[in-house]
Amino acid sequence: MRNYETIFVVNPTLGEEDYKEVLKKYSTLVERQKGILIRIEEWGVQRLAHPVKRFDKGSFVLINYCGPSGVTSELERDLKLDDRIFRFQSVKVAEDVDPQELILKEKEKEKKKEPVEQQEAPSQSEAVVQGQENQPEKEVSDHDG
Amino acid sequence: MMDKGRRKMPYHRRKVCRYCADSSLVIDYKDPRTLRLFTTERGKIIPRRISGNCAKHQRMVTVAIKRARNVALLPYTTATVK
Repeated sequence: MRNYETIFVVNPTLGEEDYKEVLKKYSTLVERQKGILIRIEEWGVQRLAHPVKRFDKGSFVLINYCGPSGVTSELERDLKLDDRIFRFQSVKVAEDVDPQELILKEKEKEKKKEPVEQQEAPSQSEAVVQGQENQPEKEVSDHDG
Repeated sequence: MMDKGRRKMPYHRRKVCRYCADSSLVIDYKDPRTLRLFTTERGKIIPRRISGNCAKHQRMVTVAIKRARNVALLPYTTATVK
């Protein structure tokens, strides 16, 4: 099986429910295509480096999954039609991987993170956001677009 | 006219590819902060002769920057933003 990751930018003006629905839709879609979800990272609303569809903010979601070669094309077809999604990009991370191993690794990572979380109490997504982005910005789900 | 023979040798220090020097560094399109080191203020990719990267890693950096641009993590240019 191959390990893929798809990153997509969701409309930041979506309500919480709609946003959750988007997440759910694509995670179930992966599973329906005989893919195995490894992890979902939500980076929250961030500034975009250049305007996309006249928005200068976007909510980033990264899904990492394993599957046969057809999974991404199925996923991308749906992402293309979805007007809540501004941009998407799929990248092959590795060829010939054992999904179970990756899941185990993921769990270990979470375990390592936990003690830090208790001390400083940033949630997992926040920790990721701070590491990745250029302008730290907390989730603002109800910003007027 | 300047005397060609007297042209000074430019001072140059051998730059080492930072990714070769430290193998624990990974080039990732999701990390715009480090990729920004390899772009100019205008958002252009800095050439290898200036950044000091080796060919292999420069190639990887280039791909990563282009991917990051695609999902709006890095700018194509700053002209429109500022």
